[in-house]
Formats: sequence, C-alpha cells, structure tokens
Amino acid sequence: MTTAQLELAKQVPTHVLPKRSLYRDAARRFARNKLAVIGLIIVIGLLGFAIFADDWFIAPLLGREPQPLIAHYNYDEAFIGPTGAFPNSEFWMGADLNGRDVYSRIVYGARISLSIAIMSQLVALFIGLPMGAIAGWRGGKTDFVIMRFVDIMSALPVLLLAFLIMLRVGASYWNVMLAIAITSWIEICRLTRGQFFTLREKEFVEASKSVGAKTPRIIISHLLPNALAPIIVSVTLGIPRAIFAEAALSFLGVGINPPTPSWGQMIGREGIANMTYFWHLALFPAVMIALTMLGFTLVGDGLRDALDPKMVEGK
Amino acid sequence: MNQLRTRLLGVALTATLILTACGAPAAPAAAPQEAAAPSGPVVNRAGVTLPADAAPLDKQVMNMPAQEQRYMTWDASVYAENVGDNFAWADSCVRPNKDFEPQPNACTSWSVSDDGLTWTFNLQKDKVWSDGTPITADDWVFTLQRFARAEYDFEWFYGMMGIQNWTKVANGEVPAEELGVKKVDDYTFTITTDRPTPYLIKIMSDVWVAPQHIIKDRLDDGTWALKPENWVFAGPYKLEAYDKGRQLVFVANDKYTGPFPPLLDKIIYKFIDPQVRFTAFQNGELDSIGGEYTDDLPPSAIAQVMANPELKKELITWPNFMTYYLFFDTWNAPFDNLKLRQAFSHAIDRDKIVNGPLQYQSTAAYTMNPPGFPGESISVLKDVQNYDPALAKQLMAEAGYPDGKGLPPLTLYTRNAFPALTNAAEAAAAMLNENLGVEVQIQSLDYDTFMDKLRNQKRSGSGDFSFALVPYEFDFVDGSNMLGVWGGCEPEGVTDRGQMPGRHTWYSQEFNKLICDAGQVLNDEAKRNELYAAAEKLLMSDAALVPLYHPINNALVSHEIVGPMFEPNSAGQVTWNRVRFTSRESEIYRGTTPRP
Repeated sequence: MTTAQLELAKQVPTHVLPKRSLYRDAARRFARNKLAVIGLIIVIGLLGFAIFADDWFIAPLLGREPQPLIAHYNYDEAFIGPTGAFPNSEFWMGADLNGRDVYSRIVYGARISLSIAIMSQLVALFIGLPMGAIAGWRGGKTDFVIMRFVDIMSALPVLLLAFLIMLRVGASYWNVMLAIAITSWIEICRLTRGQFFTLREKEFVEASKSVGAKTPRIIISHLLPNALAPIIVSVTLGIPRAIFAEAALSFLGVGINPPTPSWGQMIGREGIANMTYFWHLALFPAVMIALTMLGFTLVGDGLRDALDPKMVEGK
Repeated sequence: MNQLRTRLLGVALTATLILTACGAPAAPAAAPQEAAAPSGPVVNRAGVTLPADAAPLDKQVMNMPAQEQRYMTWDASVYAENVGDNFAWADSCVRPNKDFEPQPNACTSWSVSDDGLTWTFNLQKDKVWSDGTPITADDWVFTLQRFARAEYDFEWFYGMMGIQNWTKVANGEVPAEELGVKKVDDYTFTITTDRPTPYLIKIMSDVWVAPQHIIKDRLDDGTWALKPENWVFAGPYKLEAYDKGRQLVFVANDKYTGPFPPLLDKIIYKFIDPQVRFTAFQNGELDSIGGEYTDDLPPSAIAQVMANPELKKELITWPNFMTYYLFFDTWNAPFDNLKLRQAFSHAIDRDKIVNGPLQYQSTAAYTMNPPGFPGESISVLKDVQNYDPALAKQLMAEAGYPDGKGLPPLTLYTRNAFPALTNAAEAAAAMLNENLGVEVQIQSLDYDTFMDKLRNQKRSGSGDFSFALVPYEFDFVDGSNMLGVWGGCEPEGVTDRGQMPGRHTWYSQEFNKLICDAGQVLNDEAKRNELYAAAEKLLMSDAALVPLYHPINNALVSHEIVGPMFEPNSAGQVTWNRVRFTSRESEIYRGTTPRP
C-alpha cells in the first residue's frame, strides 16, 4: 500500500450515518415510553424519600444527631400522637399503636427497604452474572458443575433458606441484605447462562470469531448487550421481591429489628392484625410496597424495550 | 352450682346404667326421640340431660379456634401439644374451682402425713378409658414416672413437686421404680417428697393421666399418640375426628363417669389463623375467640367491640395472673451495676404503656406477683420502682453513664414477637431512649432459641443475653409459683450459682432461703405469704427485674353460650380461657335465651 493510498483511506469517512450507540438509542426510546418515565419518576421519588428522610449527610459536619428533613419526627419517637390515631392534618398517615407518626416511619422505611433491596440485587448480580456467563460461554463440564449447583440451590425454598441463614447469623441490617442476595442470584445466573448459550451459536458471534476477536471482546461488546435485557428486567423485578423477602424475614423476627422501621415489618407487626379497624397501619406501607413494585416494574419493562438491540429507531 | 352438678351426675349415672342395661343399639334410638320432642329435656350422646333452657341437641355444638400443633397429648409435649388449652378430653387428679381451690376429680380424696412428706390419693373406682380399660393407680404411677424424663419439656414443672428421686430418675441414674410414687392398691397411690411441699396438691391439678396400656414405654417420645388407633380418653370428651389442617372434632364421652359430665354434645376446634378469627366470630363461624396470652383480641378488635354495644355484651374480661418483665444479666457488665438497673426501673412510665398501645389489655406492674395472687404485697412495693425520670437520670449519672454516654447500644430480646409484646418492648425502648439516652434495638427470638439462650446464660454465667423482656404466667395459685423463676431451695453441696434453682442470672442466698422456708411452713398460709412478701421485697429492691404490665385477657363468647361457667368467682371475676384450671366444657351449653 502506498502512502497516497493510506492518506486516501484516512479521508474516507468510516460511517456515513450520524454517530449512534446502543445506549444513546436506548435513552431516546426510554424517554418516549410514557409508562417507563412514570415508573422512573416513582423510583426517583422513592429514592428522594430514602436519601432526604433526615439530614444525615450534613449532621456529622454540624456535630449533632441527624434531624428529620422530609420526615416530621424521628422514626422511634413514641407517644407523640394518640394511640392508633387516624390520618389527620398533623399525622398525615395517622399514628401507630405506640403513638408514633406513621408518615415519618414510612419515609424512614423507604431508606431501609430500598437500600436492602437494591444492594441485595447488586450483590446478586455480581454473583449471578459471572457464574452464568462462564457456564454459558464455556459449556461442557464447567456448565455442568455450575448448573448442578444452581439446581441444588433452586430446589431449596428461597424464603426458608434465607430464614435459615438469618437464624444462623442473627438478625441485622447487613445480614438481611446478604441473605436475600445469596438466595436471589440463581435466576440471574440461569438467565445469563441461557442467553449466552443461544447467543454464542449465533452468526454474528461466528463472524466476530472469524475476524479474530478475542473472547473478552466478544463477551463484552456482543454477548452482554444482547443478553442484558432480560437480566435487567430480572434485577429490576427482583427489587420488589427483595422487599417482600425482607418484609417476611422481619415479620418472622429475623429481619430488621424494631424500632427501626421497614414497610414489611410495619405490616406484619401491627398492620395485618389490626386491619379491621386501624386500617392505616397496614394500608400505607402496603401502598408504598405496591408503588415501589409498580415503579421498578415499569422502569424494568421500559429498559427492556429500550435496550433491545433488535428494536430500531422509528419502528 | 353444686346442686346442678349433683343432679347432672345423678342423671349421667342413671343414663349410663340404663344404656348399659339396654345394650349398645338402644343408644342411637334414644337420642333422636329426645331431640324430636321440643318440650322434653335435651339429652346428649353421653346420656347427660342438659338444663331445661338448653337449645335442641343439634345446636349443642361449639366452634372454637385453635392452632395446629405436632403432638396430641400432654405427656408428649406441653409446648407443642395440639389444642394445648383443651383439657376436656384429659383427666386430672384434682380440678381447681373458680377460686383455684382443688376439688376432687379422678382423685376422690387425699390426705397428707403429719410430717408433710407423704401424700395418699384415693381414686374413683369405676373410671374407664374410652376403650373400656379401667383407669387404675398403675396409670397414675406410670404417668408421673413418664413425666420424670429429661426429654420432656415440662419435666422442670413437675420437678417443683419435690418428689423423692425425681432428678435421678429424670437423668436415668436410677430406675423409674425408685421414684417416690408408689401404688398401694388398684385405686390408691402415694407420693413421697424430699421436703414438705404444701402446694403439691395444686400441681396435682396439672397431672393428666396417661394410658399405660397403650403407651407401654415410659420414654416414648410422643409418637404413640400420632396414631388414631391409640386414641383413648379419660375426660368428658373424646376425639371423634382429626382433619389435618382443618379441625379437631370432639364429642361427649359416653364412658365418662367423673364429677364433670359433658353438656355440649360436640366441640369443634377449627384451625383458623389468628388474624381472621374476629371476622370468623362476627360471621358466626366461631363461638369464642381470644383470651389467650399469645392470641388475645388484637387492639383493632377491642376498639370495635368497645364501639359496639351488641359485641360488648359478648365480651368477657378478666385480669390474668401473669407478669411481663424486663430482666438483666446481673452477673456481668453493664447490668451488674445496681444503680444502672435502678435507673432503668425508674425510667419507664408504665401508665403510658397501659393507657396507650395496651389499652384494655393490661394494668401497670411494679411487682412480680400480680394483684390478688397469694403473697403479693403491691401496696408496699409499688414505690420501689415508681416512674421518676429525674431520679432515673441522676442514678444513670451515678452509675457512670451520664445521659447514656458510655453505655453501648443494647439489644432487647423478646420471646415470640406477637404484636402486644413488641409494642410493650418498643414503648419501653422509646422511654429508655428519651429519659436516659440509651439506644435499644429489639430482637425477637423464637421460643426455643430464647429459652436456650436464657438457660446457657445462667449455666455458663456469661454470654450476650443480658437484657430481655419475657412474660411469666402462673401455673398454680400459690405464693411459690411466680417467685419460683427467681430461686428456691438450694441443693445441698452446690456452690455454683449457675446450678441454683430459678432461670435468671440473678442470685441471692437470702431470697432462696426465704422461698425455701416458706415452702415448708405447714398449715399456715398467712405465715407463708409473709415470707413470700419479704422475698419479693428483696427481689424488687435489687431491681433484678423491671415489671411492665399484668395482662388483662379479653375473650368474645357468643351470647348463646350459657351455663354455670359464667357465674363470677369470689373475686367477682368471670373467666373464659382458664380451662386448665376449671372444667369449662362441663359448665357450658347453648341456651334458648341469650346470656344477659
């Protein structure tokens, strides 16, 4: 090749179309999906609750205990309202039987429930994704070993397993998070492995291999983006499921310890038993769990549609 | 009431005689005839004639709620027994009346030797199991031998009787025949104790005879009763059917000849979730709910009942002999510090709890013994632990933790997180936080884990089980009972406080001496109760515990259910779920006119 030819090659534009990437497309598609945006607003609102319940982020600088911001009272301040007061202008969601402000506890509860749910799913992702990827890509004996382990794990009832783990390690915030993570990576692993299994036989993978692409490159730029959609949906849907798991564990007394509130614990501890009269004790935490579930489901669905590489703009 | 009983007994005996004379086929024919005539008396399937105001026979059915459990009988397990509160189908030596005085039952009479060490019991002679086998002294001796096995979860309770060689038999060191329970003849047996135990007769009301001819092996783990062909009953009722997961159906036992013949024809225990029982009661699916300590009416149900005059008529309320208390590990830091314990005891406003989350469900507690219990001295001890936040703060500072500084965050353990208990725990935690600056989080443990931790803490004298909330419900009405969890007669030659009687990590030789001396005073209840009061004073002043409340039980009982059960006792109380201590199933029936 002559120098002139090289110069010429440099001048030829590599793309005739405007520069696009999968994720930029996805963002555009997501923004056009009204339901997904509603879901995102809900999720952001909940995160706002969780973060700004009190001023924990400046309190240490001022050298004092955190003061409530969005919340009206600290979550464990008892006897500030009448026992079981119904919702009114002072106690927006009423008071519980110990005279605590339910609204404040809901706000603080968002912090507990969401942080445990999100973190547990991230940990599950960090376990499940690599395991599934290795099994799906390598196949053969590796696949056999990993999948048999997954089979054993999935034969155990999730909640029972989490319960047994909690019994062993004792109730605390971090233990709940880990117990849920340990029991929820299986689905992610299965999904990843299934996706990789089908995708690795596809022509575009063959093509990448034939032009000499290395394994990491194939996995990161070809397999992962194509496999990601169901995994993202699974993780997003795993969040409300983790909230339920946390609620169940708290109910059984091996989850979040009172007086720290979590929505599930609020329902299980006082809510259900008193639903026929003090309806507000169960209703508001239940609505919050429903909203969270709806929010994350809508976001998850929106992401799935937006991230699907087969979806082409304009179609 | 006695008149009625005598009359009923007479009728029952006559009916049994007639039925026996006529032979079995006559029985089914007789019942419909009676039921068909609306003006005639109602006779149930056991041949007992019900009082004149009884509703027709087909209405003599009662539906009650229950929690399904693993075991079927008392001798297998007390804590995991199916319908643990149904004693209608078992038979005890004596039965307390409404004032808790032991009345003859299977044991028609008893006497105690002058030295208070040997008890002689005479049995009713014509009693048979529901399969027709006679109930004899062999069964009673076998029953007590069977209770004396280490694996039995109520062995500790019968240990309080002080029967000779009890511990050795329970631990398998000597054969069961060495136990101080001996057969004299077929209908007489004796119990010999190591020391005088004047309250032994009260514990005999909790000795429920077990069928030796069926169980055979004294050490059987309870599987014998899981087989339907093994079901034999000694009480006024017998099990007709067990629908797993659904219900237990009991019917009047036609073989019963004791002093408490059945009135209701059928009792159905439905396995219904506690959360929907109130609705089930309102729908008429259940005839009674609530009144048990882990399953009392929830606050919402009570609020509805209080607002509804019709429901309020069906409400039965009585104070339970029971205490919910905080306790400490007084052998280790930080609670080996008396000032700290005293600070805690003055920092909790019991009135706020009993008027707030536990309204209608509790009275404030300042002592271990509840009001009305033998030996209680609430009027004297009330101020030992009164609510005084200023004093509490001062004591906290004197203890070395001004405003809670320096005290690590505490974990308050609770046993079985039912809502009322957790509410009390959270209220206490909030007040400790507000008044003393102490950080408390609450951790609920299941029954077994909690009790294991409690036992291990005491045995080893160390561990993390330093602060907890637990209830104690009386087993028999005697001054020794509730104080017994804190100590008793010290075993000879034992110096390790972890081996001393009682279940808590608190020890006082003086307290043990008082309790032990009181137990051996014969024929002088006033003197005994004086000693118990002195012992309790010691206990409360040392702030070994911080009592929170004595529960008030609430039960709803359909107003169609009538009978002598609803006559008040000498304290003016009508109780419902104290079955163990009364003969409820023999004192209720469905009437034609509702209860006033």
